[in-house]
Amino acid sequence: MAGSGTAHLRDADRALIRVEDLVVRFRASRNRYVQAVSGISLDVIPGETVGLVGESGCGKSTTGRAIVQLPPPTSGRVLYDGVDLTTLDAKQVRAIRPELQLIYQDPISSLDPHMTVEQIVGEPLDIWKRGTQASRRVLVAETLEAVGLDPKATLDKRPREFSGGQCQRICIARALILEPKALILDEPVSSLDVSVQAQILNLLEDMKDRYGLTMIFIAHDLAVVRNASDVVVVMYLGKVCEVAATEDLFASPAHPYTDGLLASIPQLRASRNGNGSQPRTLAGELPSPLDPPSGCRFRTRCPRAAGRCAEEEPTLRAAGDSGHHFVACHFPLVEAALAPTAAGPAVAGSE
Amino acid sequence: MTSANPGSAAHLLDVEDLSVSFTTPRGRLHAVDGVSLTVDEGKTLGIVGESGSGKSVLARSIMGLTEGRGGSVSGRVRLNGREIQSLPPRELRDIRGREVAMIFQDPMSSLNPVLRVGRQIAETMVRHLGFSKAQANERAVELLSQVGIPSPERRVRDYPHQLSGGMRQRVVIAIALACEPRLLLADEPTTALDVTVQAQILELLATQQQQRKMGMVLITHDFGVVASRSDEIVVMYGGQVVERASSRELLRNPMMPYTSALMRSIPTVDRPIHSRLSVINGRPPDLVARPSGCRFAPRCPKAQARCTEEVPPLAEASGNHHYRCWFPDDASATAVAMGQEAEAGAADGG
Repeated sequence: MAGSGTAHLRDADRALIRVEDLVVRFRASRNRYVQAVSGISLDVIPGETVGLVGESGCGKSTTGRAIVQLPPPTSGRVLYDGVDLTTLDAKQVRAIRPELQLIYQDPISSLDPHMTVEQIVGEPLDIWKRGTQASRRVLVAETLEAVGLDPKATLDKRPREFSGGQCQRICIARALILEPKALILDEPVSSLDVSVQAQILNLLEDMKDRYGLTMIFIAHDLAVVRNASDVVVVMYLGKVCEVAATEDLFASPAHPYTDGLLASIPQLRASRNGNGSQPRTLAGELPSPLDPPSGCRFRTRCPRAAGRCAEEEPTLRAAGDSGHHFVACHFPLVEAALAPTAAGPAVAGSE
Repeated sequence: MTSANPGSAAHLLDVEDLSVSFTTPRGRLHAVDGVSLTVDEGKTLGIVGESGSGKSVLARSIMGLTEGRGGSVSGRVRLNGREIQSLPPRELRDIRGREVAMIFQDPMSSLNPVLRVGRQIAETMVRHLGFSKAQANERAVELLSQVGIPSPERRVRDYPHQLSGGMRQRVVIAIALACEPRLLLADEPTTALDVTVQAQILELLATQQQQRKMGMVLITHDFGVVASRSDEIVVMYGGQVVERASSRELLRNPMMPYTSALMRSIPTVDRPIHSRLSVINGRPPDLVARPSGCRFAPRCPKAQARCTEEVPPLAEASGNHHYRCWFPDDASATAVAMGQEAEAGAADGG
């Protein structure tokens, strides 16, 4: 199984979250299965934010959920603080959840409309029987304050009385109240208006500092991911294409897919009457994950595809000379400075 | 197939002082408030605004789709010199789909799930152009190929659910183009799509528009989308046009504080990572109980007493740049603007 590889993983004992060769398979019909995630590996070091980007259907959300075992992956390992979550039983996984929280895209539908904000934010404390009635109240108020909501004006209200951005703040408060170590954010701002999006992105940065959080930030918007992440993992059809420190990835993308994605971002520049550069568009669409292309999964849309791409699946190997930059491509846009060109048997260790 | 009206008016679309309000349990909601704009043949007007700014209601009103649903419309909408509000419903229906076509955000809900896409494309041509079914079907295949759908002969027989989101939006575009409209209203046409597909669809719209010399109104919340695809940009806030200028001018030199704040709040790829985004505090105005004075004043960092007392007019600066602000960002433009409004001196005392 290639297109994956683990060359990019750092020392296992440094990582808070380490995902190895994760596979998630869903049943599509009687005898057909979809591999939403086909052997991806990634790691997150404490205090780091790792961004997961890709188009819809690339498996980024499925990966996020598989990490918290919702549902557990078909195969592969998910190490959280050295413990393989896939080997735990349901009760043991539940015990880990307070430390590892998930925040969803649609804040309004993630909140129970019948509950007051106080009940919503305080519920995790009730479930885990933390503190006394009185200390819970205090903590709820403090957490609401931390996410920028006035406790006096919010505690007794219900979700329908709040805007999308405020609901997302409530969701964040609810996730933070148990003082998790890690947050997995699945498109936390994509349903919000631009001006509100900025507020939430800033809030997440503040919360990261205040609570010392480690984050996995899943989003389709590259500019948003760029702003939030230290390391970016680019996914395509269930595979990892490229992993790099954020600035490297944007400055010198090595995978043709990353390059195409970056080129598709609409820029805040008037180019129409300037006859300037209209974005180079990436042709075609995501192939069906029921029947993924052989070899490199991106080859059907790749401007650089050659015969080899159909036959042999690329593994992640070093790219560029900046350190943490890896690409799964036979013909990357950036070659490693010292790497031997005939692919790295030395690098692609875990095949 | 051409319009019966050979360019008697200066503009293809001429909206004058259009206001739309709805009755709600809380009172009258003023969704669109005195909007004027024009679109010429072969040109694209981008309308940017956040949710609740009135941009979609504006588009629907241009199509005559808000009246009679608790909505009351005032002002004028002229298409090719013909005032469309005064037309009987029957004639309005003839214009819709034929002279003006509209593309909505969610392609799945604009398509009929139980009809083959070919039939949905053909339908409009049978209805508006009097094509026979055979003619229309043939043309549907042609249109699908023009909007970049591979093997169109086979795809005409598909149902919407068999197509991807991007392909569905292409079908919606094919339907919109079927009767060779003069004006295309695209309301968030790419919001539901992935970036790479978004780029394809925007490219497709641009080439079709150029080839057909259509006027286009591109409505979106995404400044990036209109920046590269429009000739002129209108920024809406709280139901009003707050700024209007050529794309180049507006992006280089935004004058209304809301516009620049909105631009600054967008994360871009040339900013350092973990950078703090500038934020527009507060919330968009309540359109039932509108703030007096400037709609943006409660959130504006530059607001002064005057801003909460007097509604700023849409003033004009050099370079055909319009803005609605008492204290615009660009100082050089103030002089030109001040001369225009006599009422400006009236209430300086506050």
